[in-house]
Amino acid sequence: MNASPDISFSGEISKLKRRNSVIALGRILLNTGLIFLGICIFVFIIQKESVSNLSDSVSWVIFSIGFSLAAALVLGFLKRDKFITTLIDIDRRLRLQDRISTAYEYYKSGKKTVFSDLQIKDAAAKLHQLSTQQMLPVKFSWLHLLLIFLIVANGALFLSNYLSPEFKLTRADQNKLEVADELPRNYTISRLESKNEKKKNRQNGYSKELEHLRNRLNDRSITQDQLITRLDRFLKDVQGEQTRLATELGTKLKAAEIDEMPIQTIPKPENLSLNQLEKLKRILNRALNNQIPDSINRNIEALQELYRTEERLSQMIDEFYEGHSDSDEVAGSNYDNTQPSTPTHGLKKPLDDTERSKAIGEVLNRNRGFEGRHGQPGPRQRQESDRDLKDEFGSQPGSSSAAGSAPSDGKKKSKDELAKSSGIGTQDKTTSSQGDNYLIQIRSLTAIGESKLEEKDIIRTYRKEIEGILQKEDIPLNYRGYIKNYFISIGLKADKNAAGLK
Amino acid sequence: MPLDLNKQIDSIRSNFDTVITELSKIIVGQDVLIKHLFICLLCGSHALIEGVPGLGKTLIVRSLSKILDLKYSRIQFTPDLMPADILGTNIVKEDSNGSRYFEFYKGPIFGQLILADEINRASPKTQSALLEAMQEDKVTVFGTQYHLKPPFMVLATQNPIEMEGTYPLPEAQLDRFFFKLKISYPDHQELQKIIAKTTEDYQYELKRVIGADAILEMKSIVKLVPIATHVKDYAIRLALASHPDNANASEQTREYVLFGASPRGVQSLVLAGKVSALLDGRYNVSIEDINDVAKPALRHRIVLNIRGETEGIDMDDIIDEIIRKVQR
Repeated sequence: MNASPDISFSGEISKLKRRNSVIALGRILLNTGLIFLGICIFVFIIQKESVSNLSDSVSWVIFSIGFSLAAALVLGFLKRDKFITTLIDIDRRLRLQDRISTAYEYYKSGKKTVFSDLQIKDAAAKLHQLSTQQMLPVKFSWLHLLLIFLIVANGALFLSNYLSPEFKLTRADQNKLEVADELPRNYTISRLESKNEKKKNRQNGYSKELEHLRNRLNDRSITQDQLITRLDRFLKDVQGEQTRLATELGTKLKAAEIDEMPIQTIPKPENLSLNQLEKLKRILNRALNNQIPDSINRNIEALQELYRTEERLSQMIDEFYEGHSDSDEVAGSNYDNTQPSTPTHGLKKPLDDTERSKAIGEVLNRNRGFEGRHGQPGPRQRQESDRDLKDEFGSQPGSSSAAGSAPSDGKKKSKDELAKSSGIGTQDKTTSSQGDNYLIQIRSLTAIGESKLEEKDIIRTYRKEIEGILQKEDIPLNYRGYIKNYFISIGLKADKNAAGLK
Repeated sequence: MPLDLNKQIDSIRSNFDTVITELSKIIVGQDVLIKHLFICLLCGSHALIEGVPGLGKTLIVRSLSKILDLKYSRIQFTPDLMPADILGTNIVKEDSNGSRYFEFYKGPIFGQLILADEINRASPKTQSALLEAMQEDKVTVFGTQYHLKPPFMVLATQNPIEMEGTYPLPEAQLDRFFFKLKISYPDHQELQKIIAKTTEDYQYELKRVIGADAILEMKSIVKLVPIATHVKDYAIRLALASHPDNANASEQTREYVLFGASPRGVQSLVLAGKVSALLDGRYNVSIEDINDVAKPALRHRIVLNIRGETEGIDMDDIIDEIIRKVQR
């Protein structure tokens, strides 16, 4: 008779325990799901931001599920409630006035009082009246809500990933595409490099040839024609090579997409002077963090070398010419380009000093006029035009950036005439006069009647240039004020003059 | 045994119902007060009833003594009341031979249901004589101990408004009362019934339904009622929360309470909870039982500070807040 309430009560308690275990399992699965979905979102974000590509790996999925399960188990273990707590909760919730919990405590501890059997029987009867679902209902908590949210969020992320054009385009794929994109560019550059190697060998040949010619100029055994022919051919070779290298440089810059970089506009390499090439190199170094591709670097250096070779050749000829002019002056002979001297020796005869000087002068003039044939300025002209080109390639070459860029007509102009000129501002050009025994350079401001720029605009341009230069640090600080004031005073005078003219 | 126990428990309920029914013949309302008095009786303890004059304090006690068939004594406490007036005294007697001897003349304390009316009007010396009897269930007169006949129950009353010329009970003596009960003022309907019963030709006869033996039998099973650990723990937390320096103390407790409930308070809670469970027909004590008896068990054991006294803070409000705080 005593066993009956105990058995009945223990049966009801077992049911409750089973139900409690199922709920605990459900909670663990819920937590597992929450953690896993949370990890999925986290990894998705990481994958978007960094280089990890975990989602493709099956082992990663297994690991994350395992981790989530382990974490949920640990969480469940840490947050587990004692069964008596569950019973107290049932008592309170169903207003059982602590019948079940008290009965369970006495049943579990085996305390026997006169009341214990009655109490257990009473509790068993109450338990029998209630269903386990009533006693341990599955509550819809905020965790369920969070789970739904995470499922929706994961679904949305997956769909956004699936629908995006970059679907399946993982970071590795992107890397492959980038490599593939670079392949033709690298191929072009390597091709150009191999060509450049060949040309470099040829450049060494130019240096030797230059040295050889230098020796030959003093060699009286060579005829004038031979010398002229040789100089002319060599100069043509050098300039031809310059053109080719400049074109090649342009191609490389284009291939490397440097000309599309957000740096200042780079003029065509064919129009660049030696200084501008150096400036281009500096700009590229600055823009590319001193990582200019070797091929481009070598090309620029080769081009620079050719310019130097050309310059040296020109210098050499000048020196040779000047040396002979001086000796002519000492000898009392009168060399004038308007009054050519009569040759006293045949062509096949070795040239005397006067003839040699004259002949070389012609070669020199012809080469200075090389621009006419090849459309390129000579080395000195390039140096002169450097002044007119903006330092930072701010303007396109050929456009008027300053007054006095029109070609000289060789006539002397008065100051007033120059001031009144209103013609088009043309490319500033300088020429060397071909005097008897001295070199004079005439620089014209504009061609009269052609310049359309007003004087104040010209002054403003100069002022801008000067102010730009003043901003640089290579001018000592204590000089800046003087220089600036000087140009400002020029500008004021010019403005006054302009006002007076009006 | 369980069947007998079941009968006993049933008898407790039926006796209680009989008491309520019988008392309702003359007492209108006051069901809670009567229940608490019955709990107090079964716990073998004493109660202090506080209420303004004219609410039927004396009538309730006298009626109860009739229903319970207990020897009733009434002691009207006055300032000139002496301990001997309560306990009794030795008086000199002369026998037939002419020799004299002392004979102990028992005082009113030697009853079973004692009404100590306006207990706060007697001097502390007299009060303490009564309180010793309450605590020990015996009295000592001239070195001789006299045991009081069980069941012994003192129901003291005090008037809360006429405090002039009174000797308020010290806390230590208040603590010996199991419950402090408040008799509330009747409402409109209750007053109508009271008028009808007292001013008209209303005849009633109170039956003697229980008797001392039945009371003692009921008392014997009270302590056997099971109480779960968490319910005991709840009672302890409740008592501790009445201390202003306790972590669970409510805001009002911290502000207005000087001293919290003593361990007797917890004992009262648990024991009264057991009787409450039995009266409810249950075999275990619940938290609801503890809450049910919390006010009468704790209200005289919590001492208000001067601020609480001057602001007239109701102790029941503080206990309600403590219950809310601990249940959370």
